[in-house]
Amino acid sequence: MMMLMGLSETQWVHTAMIALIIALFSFLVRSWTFRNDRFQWIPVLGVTAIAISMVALIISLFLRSLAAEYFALSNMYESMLVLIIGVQLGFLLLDRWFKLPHLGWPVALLLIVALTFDVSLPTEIKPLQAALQSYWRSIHVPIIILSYAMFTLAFLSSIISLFKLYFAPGNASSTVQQPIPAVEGPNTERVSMIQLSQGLSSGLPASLSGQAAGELSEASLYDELTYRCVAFGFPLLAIGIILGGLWANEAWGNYWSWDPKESMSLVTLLGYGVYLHLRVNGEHSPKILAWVSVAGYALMLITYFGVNLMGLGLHSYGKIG
Amino acid sequence: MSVSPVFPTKEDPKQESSNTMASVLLRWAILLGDTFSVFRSIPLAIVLLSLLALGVLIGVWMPQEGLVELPKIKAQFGENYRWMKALGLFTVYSSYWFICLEVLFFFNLLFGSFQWLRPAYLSATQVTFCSPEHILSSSQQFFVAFPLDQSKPVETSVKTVKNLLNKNFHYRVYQQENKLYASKGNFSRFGPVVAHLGILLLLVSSVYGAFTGFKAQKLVTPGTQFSLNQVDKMMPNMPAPWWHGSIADWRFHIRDFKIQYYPEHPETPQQYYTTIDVRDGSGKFVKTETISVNHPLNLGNLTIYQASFTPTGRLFLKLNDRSETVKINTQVGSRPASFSTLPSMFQTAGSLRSLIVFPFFVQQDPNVKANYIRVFLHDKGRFLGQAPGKMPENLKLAAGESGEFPSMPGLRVTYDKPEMATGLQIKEAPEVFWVYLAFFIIGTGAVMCIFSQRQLWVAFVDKPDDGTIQCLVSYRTNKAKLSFLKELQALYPAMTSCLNPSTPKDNRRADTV
Repeated sequence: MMMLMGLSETQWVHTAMIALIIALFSFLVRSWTFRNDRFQWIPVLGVTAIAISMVALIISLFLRSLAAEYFALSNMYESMLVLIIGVQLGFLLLDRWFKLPHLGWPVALLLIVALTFDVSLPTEIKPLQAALQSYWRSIHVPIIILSYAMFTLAFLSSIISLFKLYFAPGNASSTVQQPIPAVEGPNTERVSMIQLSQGLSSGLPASLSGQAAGELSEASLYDELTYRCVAFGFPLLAIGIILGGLWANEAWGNYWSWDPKESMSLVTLLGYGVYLHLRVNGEHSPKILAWVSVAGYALMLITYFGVNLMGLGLHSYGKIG
Repeated sequence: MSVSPVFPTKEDPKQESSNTMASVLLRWAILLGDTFSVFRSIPLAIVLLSLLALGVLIGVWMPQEGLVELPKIKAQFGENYRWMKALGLFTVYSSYWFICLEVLFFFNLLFGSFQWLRPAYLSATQVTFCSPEHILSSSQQFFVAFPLDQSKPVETSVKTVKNLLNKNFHYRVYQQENKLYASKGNFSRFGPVVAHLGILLLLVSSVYGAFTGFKAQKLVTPGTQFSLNQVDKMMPNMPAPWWHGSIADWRFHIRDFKIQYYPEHPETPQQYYTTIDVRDGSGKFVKTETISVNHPLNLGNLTIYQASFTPTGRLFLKLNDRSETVKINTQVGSRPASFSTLPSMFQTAGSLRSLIVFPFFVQQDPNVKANYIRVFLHDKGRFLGQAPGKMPENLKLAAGESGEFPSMPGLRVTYDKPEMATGLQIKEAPEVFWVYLAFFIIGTGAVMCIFSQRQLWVAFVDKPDDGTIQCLVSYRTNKAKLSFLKELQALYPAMTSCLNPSTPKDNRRADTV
């Protein structure tokens, strides 16, 4: 059995799970105390736990790949590991950029559920089928899974946005303080952007400071975040499908076969295409956009799990069980 | 996105008063313009994308003819089959309504792409400068005020801001007197247009492929020679009247094929190989190539794939040292079997001993884990070695194994191997280059779409009343507002710091997005 630092592949997965549980509790506390400066260390703990969990899963996948003698991304268990890593990576980047107070605990909770489900799947390492012995597997599959990770973050962001819009409409326009560097005002007095927006001797308008930048409306923040995740995931999915087409043409003699998996991935792409066009059109409310994002994620789940559960078509090696 | 009218409106008095040919043409042009404006609208794109998604969804979850046998579909849907069939629910991807949606989608993309091309081009290439009044009237603007220094001309401050934007924030900056225009990510404006043009090329090349390409299948054993005219199944992509392809004159000789198994998992095939000699129409040798799954043989637009590997129905046995070839020639119950009378040396007086061989192939039965045969002895209507409640005496043999029947000592049966045939898929796809080019264009467009275009307009204005100069900045982005605002949050202190040299330098680039 392959080991690293005295831990086996499975033990690294367990380590990741423990780290995720720590992250969940940290982010829950953060969510309640994000306006309190005394608890600034809590999100750091949560983010560190997510990072540790991600590293643990990467090590687990690495050990598995060594044992299998191929890049371990050939069945549902392995692809879900990569999906979880992708969500963690995406979350860490988003959190670094935008310091999101309420996204942490839903991400951690979802990942705990996903990892629990994943370890219940068959984990046996099997020899690769002939069709899977291609360099395309290491290119096509991770890109698709990474797009799914972005859609997962978009989905969670949409849910938070919807929650704010429906159940806390009063709070939807409440603000989330972003980490704003102190700046030197024209009169060399050190002031924060928030103060600048309150009419001190600066030219910063409300759109740049105050609610729009220094403090963002929570619903707007998560709406914008959803858009960024979809805008990043959509091209990844498109490129992933294209690469799949190139591989299919090499392996099966068809770049498109209307196979259930590829057809559903096209449906997912079209669904998110609707989201992006609604966004470009600019005539739809954040509620509609968030619902379309949720619908897109439902399509993605059908593509990822539904078709595999049926074990239909040319992608049947991804079937569950 | 609002669409500016391309053609004169119907209220144009010139149209009303004239009854000339030009007027008629103008009316048609107006009608066409109106039609095009519908075709190129984003709401139509949204509707079409939704309907196409719904159509494909139906295609995924409804059994499709060609993939599921017709009797099974009829049995599943009973009386509803007729109207569902009429709606094309079992042939979604070739149904009239799905093709109509695709055609509409094509035109929507076509007109929509050209509609966006001009604004994208103008936005990406036009350098515009804004007056202070213009910037102040914008809803997206801020300013940095700094003390008026008589010893330092305003041009110095303009240059400072220009350098700051260019070097620290990577903007391309243009200057006109005391005004600046800065932009970055201009290429991203072309992303949607590029991606759409790629989809258009994909659709066009797919249609071209449908009219000119074909698929063929051939089941072959080593030693087989064939040309493309002798394949088992030829399937042009279109019915004959519309098909405009041609069949190249290639000749093939199958030299060998084999299955390679995993050493540690002898029951699991690792790879399938077929070695093929290729000759051209005149019989001239071209090349020999061994193909396998994921490694096809390419002959211009023609590609030959290792598609399947199946038993032919012939089995090679040895009865003691005597080689025998038996053929699957009957069925016992629902299972295929070979029934062959044993040679006279294995017969006794009055006997009519036969060998019944049941093959079990992983290629044909999903419940079978490894290929093997079961051999039974049969004599005049009964199995030999039969005991009540038990399976008759039999030998279970994998390839290369031998065994003897207790009831018939002296007869050693060795299962040499089954005769296997390789299934070749042959495809002529003249469109493949264009499809790949379309893939590349779509991918490029998709990546371009990730980035955002950011624009800044800067103008300097004297405020002699309070002894300051104001650096006015107006800003705009087409997406990624959060990142842009964070960049502005970093830009503001950096500008303040640059324009007020007395301030500490550590705030010049406070944050990086």
